[in-house]
Amino acid sequence: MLFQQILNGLTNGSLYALMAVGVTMVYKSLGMLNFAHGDIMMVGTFITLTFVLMGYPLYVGIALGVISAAILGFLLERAILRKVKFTSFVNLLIATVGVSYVLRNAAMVIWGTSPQLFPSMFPETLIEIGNFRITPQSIGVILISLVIITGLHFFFTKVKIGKCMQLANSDPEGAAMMGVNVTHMRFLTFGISAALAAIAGIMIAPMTYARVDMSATIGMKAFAAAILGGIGNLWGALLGGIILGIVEALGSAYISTAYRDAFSFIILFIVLFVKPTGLLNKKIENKL
Amino acid sequence: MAETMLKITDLVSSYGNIKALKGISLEINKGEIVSLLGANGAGKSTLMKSILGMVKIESGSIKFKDTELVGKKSHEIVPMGISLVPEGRKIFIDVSVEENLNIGTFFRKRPAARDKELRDMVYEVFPRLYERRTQLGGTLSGGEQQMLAVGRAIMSDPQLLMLDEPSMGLAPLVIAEVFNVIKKINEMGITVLLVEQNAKMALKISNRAYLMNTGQIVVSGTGEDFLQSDVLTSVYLGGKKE
Ligand SMILES: Nc1ncnc2c1ncn2[C@@H]1O[C@H](COP(=O)(O)OP(=O)(O)OP(=O)(O)O)[C@@H](O)[C@H]1O
Ligand SMILES: [Mg+2]
Repeated sequence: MLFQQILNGLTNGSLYALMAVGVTMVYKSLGMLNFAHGDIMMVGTFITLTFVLMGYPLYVGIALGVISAAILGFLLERAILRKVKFTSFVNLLIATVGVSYVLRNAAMVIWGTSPQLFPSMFPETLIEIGNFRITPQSIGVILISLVIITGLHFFFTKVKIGKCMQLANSDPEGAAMMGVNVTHMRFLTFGISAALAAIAGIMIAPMTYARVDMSATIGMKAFAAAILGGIGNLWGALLGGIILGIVEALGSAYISTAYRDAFSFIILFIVLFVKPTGLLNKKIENKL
Repeated sequence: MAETMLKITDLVSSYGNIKALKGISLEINKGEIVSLLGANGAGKSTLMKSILGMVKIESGSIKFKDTELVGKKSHEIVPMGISLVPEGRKIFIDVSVEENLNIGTFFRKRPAARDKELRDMVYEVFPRLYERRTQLGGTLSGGEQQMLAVGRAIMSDPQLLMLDEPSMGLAPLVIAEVFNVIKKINEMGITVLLVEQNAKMALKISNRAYLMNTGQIVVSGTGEDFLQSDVLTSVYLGGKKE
């Protein structure tokens, strides 16, 4: 029972982590939380579903969904945030909230509000080891998330473009002086963040159904996970996501399922009370 | 006649409504050290940033050898062989000293052997950087960060190196060291544009100098001319006579 719950927690947690990584990346670039992050995830998921329902194989749908999300990320940066960034913080906040509503409403019009079955990319069989039942889904989700996040870490620390993205996000003027094309790097940051969100959504939907309102809950948990681990910190996002997933699973199993979504925020408040920078960050950044 | 490396004609640059450069013309020949003097707010940093494509240029021309730089972005200009050591501590605080130096090599194409040669030179000139090479940039002292900024610019193997107050915040002994480094860099064939509050020391190593005042060039001449005339004390140092 406990092991089972921890495994569930890890599965959900690694998905929150995948979402949180995107939140944290964009935060570094924009200096603010992107309130449309969850909605980009949802749109990527539904675009995948649409292609699957049209009869395309799942992997084609996934590829198209992820690419569309990345394009949406590019557009968000290029068409809206880049213009707003130079005015004020409040405008930036309202801009991402606004985009979030537009995407959600458009999605309701296009795809309706009822939950829809979503195909899984993993086999449905159960692996039983003694009393434990492990789904290939769980293992697949955890592995894919870990591989992606480790890969990103490698990309940001070892690959030149990745390093330049980090520089451009943490010190745009300094990076520009060194010859980094800061505009392109910011563009890329949004694209990658959005693509990760779509991948997360595509792995979440088979477990929860694809639904337009998935963006709100998952989006908030992504924020919570990113902040819990230390905003702007890649490993923090991973750690934050996993902790949230596990706390949520144990809380609903041993306390009450009614508070499932509240557990994340309770743990977030406790951590921030003790360590305002989040678990892995050293100093408070004066951005918000 | 010396080969011209940079030729600026009637350059006007602005920040919003404020014109910071009001028609600057100057020339830097290949192999020279040229000093840019002027009181606070004269526009020295603005001129350097304009060359690097980081300030809005209203009109005028900046020719680097045969290429017009006006209209180009910094990520296009840096790879052509122009580097800036900006005013203040502009190193990357959350990467190591070694990585800071590597970043200097990112946008210049040349053989790996050249990288090594330059890195060895930087470490030789600033042994302190070698000792601290695995430390994060942000953990260096102010003076060490300044050395790192200079080292990083050397790593980019520029044809034209612009140094904006490289001795700022350094102890006198280290300042002398920095001036030695500048001479050494110049002897390697790198052309240098230098801004220094420490005008006398700057002029001693400069071939020529320009004196700026509120966005314009007031006087130009050789380093010697400046050292001998009293333009400096009257116009620029304004009482800070040594
Ligand atoms: N980012 C900016 N926005 C608006 N005005 C600016 C900006 N940077 C500089 N200025 C203005 O442009 C003028 C020239 O500034 P600049 O920094 O080029 O002077 P400087 O000669 O380098 O001075 P210092 O010796 O103090 O470094 C000043 O009047 C300054 O106030
Ligand atoms: Mg200056």
